[in-house]
Amino acid sequence: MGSLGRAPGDRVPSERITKTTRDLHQQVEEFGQETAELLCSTLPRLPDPPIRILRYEDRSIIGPADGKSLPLYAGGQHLADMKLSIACQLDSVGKYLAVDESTFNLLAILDRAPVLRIHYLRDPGTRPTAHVHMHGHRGALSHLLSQAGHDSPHDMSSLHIPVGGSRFRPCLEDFIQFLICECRFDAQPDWRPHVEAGRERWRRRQAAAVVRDVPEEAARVLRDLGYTVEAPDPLPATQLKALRNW
Amino acid sequence: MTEVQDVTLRDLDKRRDEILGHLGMAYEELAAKASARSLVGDEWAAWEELREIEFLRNG
Repeated sequence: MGSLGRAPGDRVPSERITKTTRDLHQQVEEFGQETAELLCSTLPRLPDPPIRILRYEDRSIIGPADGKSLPLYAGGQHLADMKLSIACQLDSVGKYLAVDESTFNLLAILDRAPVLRIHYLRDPGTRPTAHVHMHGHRGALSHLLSQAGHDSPHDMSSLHIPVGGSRFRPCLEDFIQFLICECRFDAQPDWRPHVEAGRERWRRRQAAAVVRDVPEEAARVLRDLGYTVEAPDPLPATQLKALRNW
Repeated sequence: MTEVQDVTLRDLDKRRDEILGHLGMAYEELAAKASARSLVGDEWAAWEELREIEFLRNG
């Protein structure tokens, strides 16, 4: 499922082109519904519904109601929470549904603070577009950051660890599988096909976005594979921003 | 079906006040803690929800 990534950063694929605010609302609702279905088919004992869409004009937030988190269980015990938030609106030309920002957080219920955050920002400034924050302590890291003149050498979470930029960043399915396989949180019995099908959809959409970024590269590969590909006139513009940004 | 909640500016302001009231903090105070990476406990969730409200208000 496209989840977070239904929108790869700047635009959703061409089938997601929207013409009116009503179309946009419908797309956000479909996106929200798919996200809810993914969550319910993978993680047990979630509230029903697990998320809602908060909407003001053409901007929407997809996530649990009132800023709440979703419970995560291990052996039936509520040990952690998952925070999910996806901010969407029309893009700058008013035609495309775009994700402005998304957050997947793993929070310990012990102190209600994050352990791990995966963050995507469409307009990240000097930070990586997609990045991970690890909240932990490591003396050797603090030491070397301190020696290097870092502003927050004792705070590991101040580091923005880059994870693939807007096109190749992790999707919600990756985060859910991480929670289940790596952290060993409880899962629904048949969770894996839902995650894998959703990840495939996400990566196909991202692949399509990359083709639009560099169509001549796509045409070259297709010709190598035996396809007949003719260039249009005029040639479509190459969009390197998403491939060059970290 | 996913619930859709259409909100007004008044709703957003009210929720913002509720969040800050629950923490007993001014927005600027919480923003300063976030900037200094010194959020603790419920301040994390509060700050993230305030940022969501800010996005809905101003994009």
